[in-house]
Amino acid sequence: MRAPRPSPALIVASLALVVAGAQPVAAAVSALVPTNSVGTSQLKAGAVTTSKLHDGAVISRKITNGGVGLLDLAAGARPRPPKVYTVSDANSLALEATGLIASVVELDLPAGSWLVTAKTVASADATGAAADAVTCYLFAGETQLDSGSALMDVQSLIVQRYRIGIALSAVRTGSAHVEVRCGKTGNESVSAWVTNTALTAVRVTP
Amino acid sequence: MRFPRLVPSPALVVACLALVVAAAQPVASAVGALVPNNSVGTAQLKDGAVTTPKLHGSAVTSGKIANGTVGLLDLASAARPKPPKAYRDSAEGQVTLPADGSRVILADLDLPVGSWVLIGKSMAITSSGITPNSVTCNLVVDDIASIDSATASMSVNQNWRQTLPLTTFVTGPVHVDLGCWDSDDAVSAKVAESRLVAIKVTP
Repeated sequence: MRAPRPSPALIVASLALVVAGAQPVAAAVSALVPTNSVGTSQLKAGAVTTSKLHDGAVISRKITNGGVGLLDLAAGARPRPPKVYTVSDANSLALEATGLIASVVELDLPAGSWLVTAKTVASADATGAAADAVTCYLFAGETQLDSGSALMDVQSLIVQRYRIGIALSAVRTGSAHVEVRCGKTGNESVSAWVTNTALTAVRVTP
Repeated sequence: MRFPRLVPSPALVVACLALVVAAAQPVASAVGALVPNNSVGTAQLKDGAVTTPKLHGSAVTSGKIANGTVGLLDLASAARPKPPKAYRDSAEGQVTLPADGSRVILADLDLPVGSWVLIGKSMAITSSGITPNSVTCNLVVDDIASIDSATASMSVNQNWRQTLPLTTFVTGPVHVDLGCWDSDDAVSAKVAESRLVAIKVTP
């Protein structure tokens, strides 16, 4: 039996079938979305989400000048005033024996660079026969950073009263135990003391 | 020679119609229908195609920013690191302290919210006298509490100049003043070069 000849309709229909249905989807995408063919107008607003951005894709030139505000920054990245540590003691600390250096106030500073300032008021009330001096030191560990002295002349027979401010300062880099130490030298019979002592460390960029 | 007459069958009509429809669809429509999810990659994107409106809100997270690339100009003014805020006040020239021991305010500041290191100083000046003479200066917050003080007491029969250092820490908002008084009424004293500075810090 002879096979029937394909009708023109069958031929055209078959062709349509091939054209419309035989192309694989991937090949269609490749043909229809060629390289560098998707522009701004093809993208929906908001279409580019976080996961679509390549890591590290955003560089300075892609950011509008002044476009990054405080709230965009992580808490640790927001500019803040410098870190400070302070301690103070308004009480009087008697400096009893000549040559004995007493700790007055102290701070533990973490790593970093610090502007360290301190103050105290050296005092003595006496009549005496020799000069008396109070010397205060600023120490980081066992390293002396600064010192200041107040010399009180008590040789007069009249009662002498001395209140003399001592200011100390230094820049210290690295973690440290900083301390104000004071002692007196001179006349052992004359008592001296320090009062209103303060120690402040402000973080700085060296 | 006679050609057989072609009479299109209904099947042929439909098939031709299918062919036309299949082949004549606009490209854009074809793209819309054929571009499956996650099929457009970097290669298909034109340079600069991703403009601001195309970015999803908050799409740019830390990992998407190249390390070390955000410069000062990228930051809004408020987000740029700046030196710490400071306020200052001072009293010019020498100020004679009343003999009755009343306190004279030499400098004052209204500090806003925040933490502040206060640095003050004044220079006490006394002339000769028959008894010791003292000048005390202190820092007072909100006209009530003294938060630091320093006294300069000076030997008799001599002219003295002594600096009184003051430093402490306060939390704003707060009004702070630097004041001094003559602690002994026998000899009049003066103060000079009185300064008060507040620097904003993080406690």
